[in-house]
Amino acid sequence: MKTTQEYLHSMHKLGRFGIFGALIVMLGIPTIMAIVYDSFPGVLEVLTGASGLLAVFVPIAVSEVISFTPVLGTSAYLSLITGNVMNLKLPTVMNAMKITNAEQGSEKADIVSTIAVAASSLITMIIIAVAVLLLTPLKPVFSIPAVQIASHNILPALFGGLSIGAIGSHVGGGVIIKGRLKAAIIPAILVAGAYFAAPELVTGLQGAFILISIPIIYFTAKKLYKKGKIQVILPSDAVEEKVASGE
Amino acid sequence: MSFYEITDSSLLYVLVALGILYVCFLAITFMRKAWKRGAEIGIDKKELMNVVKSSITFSIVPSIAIVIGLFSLVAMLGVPWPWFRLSVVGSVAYEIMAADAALKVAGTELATADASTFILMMYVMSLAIMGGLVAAFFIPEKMMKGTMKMKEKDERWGILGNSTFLLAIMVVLLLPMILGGGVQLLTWITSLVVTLTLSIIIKKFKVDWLSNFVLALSLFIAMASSVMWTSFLA
Repeated sequence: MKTTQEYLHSMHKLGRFGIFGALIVMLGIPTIMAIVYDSFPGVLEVLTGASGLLAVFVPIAVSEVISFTPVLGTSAYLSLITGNVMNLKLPTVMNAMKITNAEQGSEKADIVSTIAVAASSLITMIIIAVAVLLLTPLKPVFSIPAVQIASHNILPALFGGLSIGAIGSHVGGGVIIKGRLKAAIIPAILVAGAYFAAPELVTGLQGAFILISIPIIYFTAKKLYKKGKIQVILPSDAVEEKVASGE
Repeated sequence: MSFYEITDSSLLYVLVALGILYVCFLAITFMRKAWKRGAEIGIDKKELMNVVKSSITFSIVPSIAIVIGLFSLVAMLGVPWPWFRLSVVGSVAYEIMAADAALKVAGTELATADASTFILMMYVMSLAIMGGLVAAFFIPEKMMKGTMKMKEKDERWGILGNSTFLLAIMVVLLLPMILGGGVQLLTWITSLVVTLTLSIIIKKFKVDWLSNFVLALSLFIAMASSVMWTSFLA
C-alpha cells in the first residue's frame, strides 16, 4: 500500500497532467478553428486584448490558488479546471468534510474532497449539456424574474448554512479549536472598514482581500496559540483525560 | 464567413464536445483514484457513496444558475463556445468582459464582427483566464508539503494553521453579505436557520440519511426565500 505522501504525490502528478491537457484544449480549439478557417489573429492583437484582463485576473487567480489549496487539497486541480470554485466547488468540499467528519488537511479530507469535486463537476457538465440540447424550450423558464432573483442570491443561500461549520469551533475529525475567531478580528475590522468606504472595492477585489487576510490571521493565530489564548483539543485528549481521572 | 456562421459551426461543436469529454475523463480518473485510496485506508464505501449523493444533489441548483449565465452568453457568442467556457474554468462575468476586450482590440462591435473577430475572442478569453491554471501547476504540491510538515512538527498548531485559510476566505466572503443587509442578509439568515433546524431534526429523530441533503435543502429553500424577501422589501 502507498504511503500518504506517495498517494498525494500521485494525485499532484495527475493534477499537473490534467492542467497541461486543459491548457492544450483551451488553446487548441481556437488554433484549429484558425487553421481551418485560415484566420489567424495577430499575436499583438491577442496580447493587447488579453493584457488588461491578465493584469486584473492573474493576481486574483494566484491568490485563489494560495487560499483554496489548503482547503481543497489535491481536488484544487480539478476545481480550477472546471471553475466556479467559490460558488460550487468550495461549498461542495466543505459539505463533504462535514458529513464525513473529516479533519481539514487530513488524507481522508483530501479523498472525500476529490470525490465530491469530481461528482459535482460531472453533474454540472451534464446539466449544461442537457441545457444546450434543450436550449429553445428551456429559455422561457430561465427568463422568469423569480428564477433570475433566486440565482442572483446563490452565494448567501449557500454560505448561510456552511458558515456554522466554517467559523465554529468543531473543525472535523473530532478536533475542537477554542477561540480561533480572535485571530480574525483584525481582518474583520479591515474588511468592514473597506466595505463601508467602498463596497464594490471588497466585492471586486475579493482575492486581494483574502490574500491580505491570510497572513494576518495565520500569524495572529500562531501568537495567540503560543500564549494559550487559542486552544486545540484533539480527540485523544478526551481519552487521556478519562484515563487520568480513572474512568 | 460571418460571425454567427462560425460561432455555431459544426466543427466548433465537435471540438467543444471533445474538450468537455477530456474534462469528464479527468474527473472520472480523479474520482477512481480517490475512491480506491479511500477503500485502501479503510473508509467505509457507504460513507464515500454518501459524499457522491450529497455532492450531486447539492450541485444541481448552482448548476442551474450557471445555465442561466449560459443563456446570456449564447445570445452573444452562439451555443458551442459558451458551452465550453462555462464547463471549463470560465464564469459569465469574466467571459463578457473578455469578449468585450477582444471586440475593442478588433475595433468593432458584435453587430459588425466577422469570423476573424470571433477567433480573436476565443484566444483572448482562453489566454486571460489561464493564470490560475499556470499557478496551480507550481503551487499546490509545495504548499501542501509545507502544511504537512507543520503538522508533523506540532500537530495542534498544524491543524490550527491549516484552518486559518478557510477562516480568511469566510471573513472576506461573509462580512460584505452581512453588512450589506437587505435581501442578501435575509437570504443568508434563512439558509442558517434552515440548516440549524434540519440539524436539530436529524439529532432528535435520528434521521441520519437526511444529513446528506442538508446543504441542498438549505440552498434551495434560501434561494426561494430570496424571491419572497425581494418582493417584501420592494
